[in-house]
Amino acid sequence: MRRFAERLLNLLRVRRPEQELAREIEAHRALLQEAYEARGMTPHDARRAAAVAIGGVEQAKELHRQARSFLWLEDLRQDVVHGLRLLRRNPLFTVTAAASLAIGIGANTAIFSVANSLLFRPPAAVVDSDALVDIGAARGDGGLNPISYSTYLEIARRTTSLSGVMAQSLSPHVMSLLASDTGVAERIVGQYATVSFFTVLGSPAARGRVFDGNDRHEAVLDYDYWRRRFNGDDGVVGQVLRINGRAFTVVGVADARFHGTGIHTRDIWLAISPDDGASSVVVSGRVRPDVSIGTAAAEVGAIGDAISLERGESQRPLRLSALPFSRAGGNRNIVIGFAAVLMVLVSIVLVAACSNVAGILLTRSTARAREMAVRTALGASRSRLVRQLLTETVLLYLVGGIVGIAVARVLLTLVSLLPALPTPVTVPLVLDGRVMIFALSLSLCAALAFGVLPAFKGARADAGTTMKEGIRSSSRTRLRGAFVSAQIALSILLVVLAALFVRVLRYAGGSDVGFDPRGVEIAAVDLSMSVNAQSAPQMLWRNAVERVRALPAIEMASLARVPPGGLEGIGMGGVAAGDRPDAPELSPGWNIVDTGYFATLRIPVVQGRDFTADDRVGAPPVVIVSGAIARRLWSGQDAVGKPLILAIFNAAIRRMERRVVTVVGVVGDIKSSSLVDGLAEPYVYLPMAQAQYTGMLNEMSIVARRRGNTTLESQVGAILRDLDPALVLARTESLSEAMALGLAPQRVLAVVAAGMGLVSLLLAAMGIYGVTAYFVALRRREFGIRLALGAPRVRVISMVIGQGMWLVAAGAVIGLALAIGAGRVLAVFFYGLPAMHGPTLLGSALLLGGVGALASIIPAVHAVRGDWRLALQEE
Amino acid sequence: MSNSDRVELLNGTLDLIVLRALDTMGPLHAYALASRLEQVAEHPLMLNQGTLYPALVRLEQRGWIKGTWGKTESNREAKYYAITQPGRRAVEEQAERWRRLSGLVNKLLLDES
Repeated sequence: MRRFAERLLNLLRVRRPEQELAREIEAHRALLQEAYEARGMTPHDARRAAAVAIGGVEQAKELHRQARSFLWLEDLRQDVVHGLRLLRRNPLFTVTAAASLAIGIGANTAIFSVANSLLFRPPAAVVDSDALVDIGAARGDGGLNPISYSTYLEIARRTTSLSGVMAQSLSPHVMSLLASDTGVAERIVGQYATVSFFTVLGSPAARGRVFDGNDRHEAVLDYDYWRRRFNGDDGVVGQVLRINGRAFTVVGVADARFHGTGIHTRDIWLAISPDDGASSVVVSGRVRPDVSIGTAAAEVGAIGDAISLERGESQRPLRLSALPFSRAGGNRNIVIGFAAVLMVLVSIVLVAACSNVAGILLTRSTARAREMAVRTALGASRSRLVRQLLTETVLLYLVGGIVGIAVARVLLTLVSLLPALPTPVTVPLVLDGRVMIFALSLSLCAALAFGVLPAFKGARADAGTTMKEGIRSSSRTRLRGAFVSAQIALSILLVVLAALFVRVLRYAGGSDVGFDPRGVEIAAVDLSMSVNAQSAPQMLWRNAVERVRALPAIEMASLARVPPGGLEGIGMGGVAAGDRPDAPELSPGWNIVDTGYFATLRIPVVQGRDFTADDRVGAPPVVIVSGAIARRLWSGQDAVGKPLILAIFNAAIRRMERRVVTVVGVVGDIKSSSLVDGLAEPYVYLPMAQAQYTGMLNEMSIVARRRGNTTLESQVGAILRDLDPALVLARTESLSEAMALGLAPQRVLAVVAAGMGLVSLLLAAMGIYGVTAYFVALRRREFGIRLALGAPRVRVISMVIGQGMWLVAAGAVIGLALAIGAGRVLAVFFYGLPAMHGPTLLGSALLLGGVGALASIIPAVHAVRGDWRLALQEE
Repeated sequence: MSNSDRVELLNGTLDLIVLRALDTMGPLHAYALASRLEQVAEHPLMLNQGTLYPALVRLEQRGWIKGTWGKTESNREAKYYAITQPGRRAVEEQAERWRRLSGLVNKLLLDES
């Protein structure tokens, strides 16, 4: 082992031992010369004799070197040096090849690093994150849904395998901080967490302490917020802050590196209050050191079964489950799935880039056939040559990989171009060791997968074939063509996929969503900010919307529980036709709206009427349904006037109950939160004035259609402050922006696919150009003879282009088949998308054909240029 | 002196000879080592003195000898090689192996003449 290490070291410091050896030999020679002189030789003769006695100094060095190091490692060193020299000598080849590889590797690396941050990198300042688990209600897709706070309490009470359990509210909320000195309400992003939150994570405090006891009126500040808002003043610890009408004592500041467990950021953590019983929480736990994660998960499942049994909910049991802790929480699988789809997309382009480089390497190996033949003649073994070619390829790929890491860095900055979420989000996208290893091993694997074949072909050089020019139909040429066809196929696949995703996006976000989002502003308001406002929400909403309607910049305004088209939706229960006991129960989308909502959004009222001011408490309960409900429950009949049974949650008594209401109107179908599936979702609208019992009127959005382009933030904000000083706007945005957010995943897919499609087109053009130029070079003599015998130039040009087109055609057939297969798979995920879209397929094939023709024109023209006569004289 | 008079050293024997010389004579530099080898050889052992070096490197890598820079009596610098403890053990083992091998070869040669 020591010898191994020494030899290895020797290899690296070739120069030093060599110098030392030279010094030693020189000393030896001097002694020898001295001895010869002592025997009476002249100094000159003595010097010569001494040199002869030692033998060739270089020879001695070579012997010495062989003894010193592994021969193959020394070979490797030579190959690397040689390879680098070659790469330097052909900058154009190096740059194009490395750049195309860098794009493929960089795109893969960027996606991997996002997945890495969300799935594998534990949040900073968390102790032993491997022992943490996320806990929730098992979902069909393998993910977790949030659970109720009361279920969390049961888990905490019963568990024996977890040393601690903590919970936090679903996501941070915009809250109102009433400063004690000015009395002005400030916007603050807060999140509720159990008092066990910090201790379970093992996250310390930077100032003061984290939550420790059972005091429900404590708050911990985020470090950055503390620096920003309180200038890093230690005096804030112990202060009382009034947030959303409640008093919280600041007990400390969280660790500077700790910004929560998920992707959201917040300004403050508030201790969750026990009366939040019904609200949903995200739960995590720390597994005892002596217990395996599997055992803990099994115990959590058993606790869920026990709870369901005791609550008498055995027909809809609570299936609790635990997953490894990550930033993605219960949505792990969604992140993995989405990352996998993106990874497949960008891998296609990487494979295309590799095929391109492999093709170029093959061409180059033809050009280097003489070098190989000479080396073979001088006794280099085939394996030695393969090794050398492979080393060169690996070097090239590693250069591509290193540049790719830089490309990934640039690509990651594009993440910030995504539409903003309601509350700030940060994912620390770090290119850590894991990402580096990924990028470099990806490069290595790609180099071996796509380098071995060209290396073997390249090293097969016997003197015979090299002398002859008759290698036209050799397997190398066929392989070169195969690589180009593969590139074409992959390009077509990517172009078709890009077109497909763009169609998904247009289909989903197109004009026909059933409402007109242009010019509509949304202002979200949360009344839990103010104790006063909460006591009479109806009054406040009425006042607020009246005053917004009075603004000159506003054409129309209304209120809605959820604005359409965004990510949000509310689930409230089911509906059934009241006059037909056999009718199926539907699970519709729900909304609670004020009068004028449909006019504001330009949703047509197809039958009946809109809500009016007369639809209030005490009046007969009414409802408006979407066309889809009318068709499904009262097909062929007039739905207006029909009774509708609502199976709905009554917040006042905290129970599901049945209510019978009368349908007074039918409105047009809209594509709601699930814009993607494109199905007309059944939708039920409750009048705000009659919906007090749902307990959902605390958070509403003012929906306003504006005149002109003014943003309403300041004006609406002023109105709210005027109504209640504690109210701040949770957020304002245009409806189009909100909808864009709902389509963000599709947009990312479309942009990535389109970008990759473009890159692959470029690569395909390079590949076709390269292979055509290569054919022209091989058949120069033939073309020369043809031209000399009087063949028209056009004929030769068309021959050359034709040859390129054959490859395009072969690639196109494979590519179209792949694209149709991929379309079938995607049609499963995106409803309403035909697997085969003739124009897209045809268009892609024509596009590639055009690119192919363009790319082969230059070499074709080259074939018939004036100097073709020279080709005849070459041999 | 013609080339045929040279005694070609068998593979591996040079290592043993060097070790043995260092064992009996103490630290030597390469030149002294070469002179010593010529001295003891009854035949004119025309050693290409350069070939000593690979052997010295090999032995040093195995940890059987150790080289340090020093001065000769004529005040020239030279690298002195000394045998190490593992080297001494190795001499014994190698010498035993050599005795067995040469015994066998001698026996075969005598039997056939």
